[in-house]
Amino acid sequence: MDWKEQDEIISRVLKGDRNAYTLVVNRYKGPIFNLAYRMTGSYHDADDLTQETFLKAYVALGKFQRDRKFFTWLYTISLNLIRNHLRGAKPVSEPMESLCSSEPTNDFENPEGSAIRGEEIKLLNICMRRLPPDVREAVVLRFHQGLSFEDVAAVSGCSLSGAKMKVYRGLEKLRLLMDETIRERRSP
Amino acid sequence: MMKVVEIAMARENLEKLMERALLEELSPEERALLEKALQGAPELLAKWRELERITSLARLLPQIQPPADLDAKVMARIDSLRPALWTRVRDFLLQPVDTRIDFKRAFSGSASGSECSFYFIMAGFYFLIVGLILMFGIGRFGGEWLMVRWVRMQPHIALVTAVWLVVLGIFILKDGAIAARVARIGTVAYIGLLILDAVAIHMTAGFPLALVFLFSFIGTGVLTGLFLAKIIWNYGKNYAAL
Repeated sequence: MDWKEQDEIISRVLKGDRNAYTLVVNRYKGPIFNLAYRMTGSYHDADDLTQETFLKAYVALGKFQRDRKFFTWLYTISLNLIRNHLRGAKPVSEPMESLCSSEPTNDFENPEGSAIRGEEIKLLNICMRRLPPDVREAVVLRFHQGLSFEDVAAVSGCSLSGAKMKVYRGLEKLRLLMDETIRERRSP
Repeated sequence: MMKVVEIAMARENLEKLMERALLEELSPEERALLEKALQGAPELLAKWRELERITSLARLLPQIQPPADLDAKVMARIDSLRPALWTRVRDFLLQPVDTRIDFKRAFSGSASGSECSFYFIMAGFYFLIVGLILMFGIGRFGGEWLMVRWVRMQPHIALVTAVWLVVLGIFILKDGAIAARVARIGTVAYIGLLILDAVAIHMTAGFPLALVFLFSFIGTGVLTGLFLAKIIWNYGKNYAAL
């Protein structure tokens, strides 16, 4: 969906064409759902938060400034909802580890390598859950969602240097956590 | 550049460079020089490799498929946000509607829902005026042809057509795929019924004055209908992707 098409769809929705909003939902449901899932670790909560994001965006669409990027605006709404959710959230009922065990990896050519990589991804997921939410969101946005540092800063509502600092802090923290977890597993 | 890296050989500076490399602030040449410099600091090199591994793993985190019914659930919740019927009627009657008369735009297919609605309501208004003129004026004409029952029904037919077109216009204001579909069917029905009306007048009246109806009332109505059909067909194309 290019800028022009997106602008046209937003105009249609603002004129009362509710059905045109399905195009917006369809285009962004994947990234928004994955952001919520990676932040909460719960499939059910991610589903609820994604619905809430699109509902809130629909209601607030009239306030969206057309000179801004739509997806950063949508991500900001989503992130605010996720932050509020995490503030009041109980520990995740679905264990992250069990969810991660079914996650596919892309290493098809080498099954052994795939298994190792799968284990590593599983471990990374567990450690990511232990990151502070603001740091976790920066890492997820940058690496999992593939946003530029400028977009990470715009979505998180911090400066560019702030966004970079969070990402680096996240990587450092992940390194220590992964190291610690591996050592814990090895010790009898 | 070599000089920069030489200065950065100290551990602290190397760590700073590592941070900059991970934040993608170094050029490929600078990065290669950093790697080379790290060969002399095994502890830092291990840390560097570890951080690189984590970034590549984070990029490999799989994308999870959202629930299949997510779109439907979102749209159902949006539909539940709809205001009550009386609120919508009040808004329709009292709020200004942004529209314009631009036949070129209407023919080219870029008319919005409110513009299409406007054309339908205006066509309905035309039939309302025609219906009223016929209703109050037809009795003033004398002659045998007025005895034909079908001719006497023409004012009523015009008024029903007026209501039909206004209802279609209001329905298009919903600006949705269903409204476009209903309006298409309604427009075809409208043209078809007008043609049938013309045939009925011709067959039942059977005298030259009936041609007045054929060329004025019916003829104008059919031309209007074709115009409405064209704009509603174009408008409906907007929903082809949905």
